[in-house]
Amino acid sequence: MSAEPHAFQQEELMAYLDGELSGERALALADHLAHCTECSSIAEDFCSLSQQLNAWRVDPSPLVWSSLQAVQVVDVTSLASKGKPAASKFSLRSVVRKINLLPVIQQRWVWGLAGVFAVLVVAISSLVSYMIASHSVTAFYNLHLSPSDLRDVKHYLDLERLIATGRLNVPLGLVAGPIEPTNTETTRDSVPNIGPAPRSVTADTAPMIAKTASLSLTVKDVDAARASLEQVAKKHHGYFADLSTEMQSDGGHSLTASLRVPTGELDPALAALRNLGQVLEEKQGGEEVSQRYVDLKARLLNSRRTETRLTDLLVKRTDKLEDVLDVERELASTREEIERMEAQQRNMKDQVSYASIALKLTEQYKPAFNLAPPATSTRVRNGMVDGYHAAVDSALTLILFLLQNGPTIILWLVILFFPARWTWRKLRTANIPKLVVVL
Amino acid sequence: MPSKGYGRHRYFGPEDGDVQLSDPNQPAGDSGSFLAMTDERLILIFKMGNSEAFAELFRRYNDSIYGFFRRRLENPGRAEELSQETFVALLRGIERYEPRSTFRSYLYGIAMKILMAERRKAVKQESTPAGNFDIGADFAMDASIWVQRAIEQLDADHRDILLLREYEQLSYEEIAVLLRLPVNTVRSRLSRARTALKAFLLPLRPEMRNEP
Repeated sequence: MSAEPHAFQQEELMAYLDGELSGERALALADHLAHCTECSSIAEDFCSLSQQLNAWRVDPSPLVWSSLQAVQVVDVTSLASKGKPAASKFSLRSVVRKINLLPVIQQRWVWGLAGVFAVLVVAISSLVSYMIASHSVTAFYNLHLSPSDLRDVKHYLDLERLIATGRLNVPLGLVAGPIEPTNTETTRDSVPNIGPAPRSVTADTAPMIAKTASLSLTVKDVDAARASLEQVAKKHHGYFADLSTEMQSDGGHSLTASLRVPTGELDPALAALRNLGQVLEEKQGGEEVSQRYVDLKARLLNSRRTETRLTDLLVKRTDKLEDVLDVERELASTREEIERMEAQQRNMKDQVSYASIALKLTEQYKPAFNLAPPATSTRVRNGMVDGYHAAVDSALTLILFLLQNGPTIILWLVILFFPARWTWRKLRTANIPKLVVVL
Repeated sequence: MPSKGYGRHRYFGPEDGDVQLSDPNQPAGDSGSFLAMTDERLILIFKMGNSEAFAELFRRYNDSIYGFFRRRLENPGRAEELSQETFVALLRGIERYEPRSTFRSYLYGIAMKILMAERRKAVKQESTPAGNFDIGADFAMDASIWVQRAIEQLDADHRDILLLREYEQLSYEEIAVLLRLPVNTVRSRLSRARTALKAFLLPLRPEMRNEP
């Protein structure tokens, strides 16, 4: 093209000749070609080129329809009879496209079923975890799983702590049977066995009852009654837990004592004590401590097993100082707990085997019989002293009264002073006779 | 406005690009009526089970498809085989045809895929002139060879577009869909191809320039 700007590019001219130009643009170009020799020349060149290209001709196709029919693989009649598509190649993509999941997802029951399934999965996984943990605990408590089988000392100690705090429950059947305590001193201090060792924690022995009684008497002579008390205690194999006497204000004596007698001797002892004087008050009671004793026994067994395992762990497993210190610490805590529980157990046994009787003896009132009166000087002196005391008491009483009520009195005086003065002046003025001056 | 395509091919039925979907439930009629039907309607009739419709389509495009392969491959026998393979592929995949584009675009798309597969396997990509260039030979043979040699000198991208336009008579849009190019790119490359081809063909003897 020439250097002068043309309204149409060569590409547009070519597109026009190919019939690819839009209507308005084509009309404009056609009009332009009628007047532009240069563009007309270019258009002729394009047409000439196309004609030259026609020189390249190829032979007709040797392919015939019959040969194509011979290799036809699709049964055309099957397509027509049922209108179904030909057996196409199966592909996952085609299956996924055909499966429309949207209507399924919109169904509420689908979500409900998914929720139930999720809950089941969580429940089953929790149950499996608990069973695994329980199995570990079971094997551990049956000594089938030695401490060396555990991952490390810390895992073992964590397991023990969980059991001790009650967050991991050990099956009851595992906390059973007598166990040989490692510390033989505990057997020496133990109270005589009151029954066979239970095989199960829920013991079926007789109930353990701690009996108590209280008795209040009036006696003629406290000293004589005291001697009788000691005889009663000795006779019924009892002892005094504590005993005290005091003089009352009227000159008589009183006695307070706590008598311990074997439970079987309680009733005979009470009968003997009633005979000492006049009974003013009597009470009896009993506290059943069976369940507490059984629980204490179970905890004591567990602690002793723990002590055994910790001792074994200390010997076999620990090779790091940190682990040694942890085990030692845990062992000390366990032993302390064992001692505390043993003390509780002894106390509980003692409460059951011996009954407590709280006694209070009071002497009858007897005024003193004096044959000789006191001397005159003594009586004078006593009078002066009594008079002095009375004066001091009265003065003190007045002072106390003023201190307690004085501020209140002063306050009301201040309040009532001016009204009272005004009223007084009025009354005075009213009472003065008027002097009438007659002029 | 000139007729679409100032080449030598003619088309049956409506203008290209007008995809007319006739009611497939209408009776197909005898084979003589197939001549007036569009390609798309023939396909629909064929999908309903009328093999005569496909025979008509085969008759229409047999030479075109063969020429498509013949101009791009050296071996005529191989061109025939690939032509047959094109129609067989069309038969096998007829259910996947959807009237979103013209049937011709669909058919040439199949042919192009087969050609690409063949090129990947072949040593030479394009047909080369058989024999040596001889100036003193028959004029028609010389002209054909001249054109082939000139086309061979084009870039591969320009050559494909030129051949599709000049010999397969595809529209710019159909070429763009087939080669997965923008329409403007097709137009610009076609323009450059023709300009370059004109320069390659300029040294031709004066008798060839005026050859219709």
